[in-house]
Amino acid sequence: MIKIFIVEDEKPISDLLRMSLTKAGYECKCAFDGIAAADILETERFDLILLDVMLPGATGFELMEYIRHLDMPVIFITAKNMVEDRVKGLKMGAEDYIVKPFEIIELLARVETVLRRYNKLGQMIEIAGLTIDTRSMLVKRGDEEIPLTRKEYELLLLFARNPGTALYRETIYERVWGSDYFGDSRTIDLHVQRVRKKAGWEDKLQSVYKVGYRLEV
Amino acid sequence: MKFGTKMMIAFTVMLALAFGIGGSVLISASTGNYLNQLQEAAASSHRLILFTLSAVSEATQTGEQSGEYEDFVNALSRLDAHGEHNWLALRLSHEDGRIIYTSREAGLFGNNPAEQILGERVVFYDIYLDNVSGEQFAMLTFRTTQGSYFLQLAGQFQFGASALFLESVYDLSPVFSARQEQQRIYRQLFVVLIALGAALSWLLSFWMTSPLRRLSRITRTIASGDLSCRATSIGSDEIGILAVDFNNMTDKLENNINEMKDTMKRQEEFMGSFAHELKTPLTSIIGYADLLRGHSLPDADKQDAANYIFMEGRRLEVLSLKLLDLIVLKKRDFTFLPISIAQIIGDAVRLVRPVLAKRNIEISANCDGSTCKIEPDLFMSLILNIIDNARKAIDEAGEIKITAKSEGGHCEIKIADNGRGIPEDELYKIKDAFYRVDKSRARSQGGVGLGLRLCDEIASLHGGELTFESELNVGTTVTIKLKAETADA
Repeated sequence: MIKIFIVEDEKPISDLLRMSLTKAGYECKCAFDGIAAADILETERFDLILLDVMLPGATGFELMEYIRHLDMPVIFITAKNMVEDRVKGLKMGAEDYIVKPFEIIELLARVETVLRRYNKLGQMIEIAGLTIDTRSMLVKRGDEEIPLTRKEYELLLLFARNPGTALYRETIYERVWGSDYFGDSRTIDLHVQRVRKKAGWEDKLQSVYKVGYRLEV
Repeated sequence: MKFGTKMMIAFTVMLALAFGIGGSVLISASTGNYLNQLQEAAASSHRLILFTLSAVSEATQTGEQSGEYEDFVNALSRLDAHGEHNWLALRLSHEDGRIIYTSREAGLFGNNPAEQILGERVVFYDIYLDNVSGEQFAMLTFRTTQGSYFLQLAGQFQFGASALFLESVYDLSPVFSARQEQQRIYRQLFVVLIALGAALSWLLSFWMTSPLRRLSRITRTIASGDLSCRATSIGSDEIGILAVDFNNMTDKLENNINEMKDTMKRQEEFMGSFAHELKTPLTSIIGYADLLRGHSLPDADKQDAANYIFMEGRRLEVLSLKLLDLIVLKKRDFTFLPISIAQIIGDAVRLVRPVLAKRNIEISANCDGSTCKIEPDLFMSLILNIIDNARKAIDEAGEIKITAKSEGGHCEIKIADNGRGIPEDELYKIKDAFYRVDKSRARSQGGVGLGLRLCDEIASLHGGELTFESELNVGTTVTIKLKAETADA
């Protein structure tokens, strides 16, 4: 199981990260200040560290100096949306950064990207009778390949990566079409229909009333 | 052009003018003197000859016959022959134009001397009529085409029925050659003097403008960003005073710029902290709400998430209210009334006592009868804020003591607790917005880090001062120093 270390002094946010990441299938450990985090890092290894910049004890940047030699990927969490801060973090060797306030789905996507970059995640996702090869972008049912358009594939992947989560139409639109949602539900509904049919997920990909869709597993 | 160069040129021009005018006046005066001497000598010798001839005329007194002028010719020849005379030539002529006698150099005379001298029209540029002795006596200076100067004198005397004219010519060249020589020498002297003067005035202007150059160098240093640079050792003259004024200006400027930088830095810090304070609860609210709407969570987690949303929402509410207070404080005009400190503190104590009693905290107030000009609502909130801080500092069963007394026109209100105190190195930061000594504890007690910022604003609005003394694990004393209205202790 993939282990993620959450260093965040705000208890509500720490809990939020822990809850969401646990739900997404990661194992989490939390530290609430810089010193405690350093102590834990001395004895334990993690696949990913989520690091807040403003920490009591030692700041995220100070801690980063220490982590750099440990060869663990780091994602900074910062309230400051200043370019210098972001650049500073990335220059120090962080893999990515997330600016508060963030949405859970964005956090999960970034976590996944970094983990994939470090080959901590497999390339194959097996879900609801399908096999998705994220490298070759191939979707198979058994040995039979399912032909999908680019958007259909991305839509399918989004559901596959967030099973059991009610995905809101605006979230789906932002994730798959990459721009702000202006209430154009027809496009989404149409694509979901097609994915449902092609993947044979007629009973699994359920619509959530007035909200969006959820993949039941 | 450089100021030094200008000064040098001005000096040199002035020197040249002075030397030039002085020199010409001197030379012309000396020339005039010399000329006068020569003229007087010439006049006296001419008069002498005239006198001699007049005597001869009286002695002769013969009629108009041939050889009647013999005596004159003889007398004049004798005079001419005598070596020690100062004239160049003599001529005696009859009024009808006949020339009776001429000595050598007769060419120096004109054709018709009587007309020339006594007539209205004179071709020479200068004529003096000497009437002192009552004689007909004329004097003129002329210049030949060769450039030599001569003096011609003419006089008249009676010989029988006719008038005879005596003319004499004197050499004036020494005067003019002396003048030329003087001018030549003076020109050379002038050039040397002006060169020397120019050099001296260059040195002088260099010396006088050197403080200006120093000042300008310092100004450039300051302009290039080094604000700590000051003009020193410029002197005590006008430029020195300018340097002092300049330094004063730079001081002010430096202060202003530092203040501005400070304000900007504080503002930036405030904005940074503010963003953090705002985004943290927002992250929780958005995150938990997202979690709740997207996932079917176990009941316990659902409860936690809802609770977090509620708590963080409350925090945002407190934050926005306090910020509003701060903004209102800065914008509004308040009316200050003279109010008894004992009364307002008594009200505050009555208000908080029940709450404090629940946590076994004793509160006592001991105030004298001083009165201060205060805005009652604001001041109440200041007192309550500080009491609340004291409450938060006390873990269990402590006491809060309030004292107020006037001394020397000031009223000092002290609010002392025996709580956990504030570390010394944090003491200076506690008035900063969003600063909390113990962040997690403040959070759990519902603080947003704006309380003391607000108190400080209220205190300064009253023209007062807020100071803190604290010792770790012994307690904190907050002192509010106000101007007392009346102090009838």
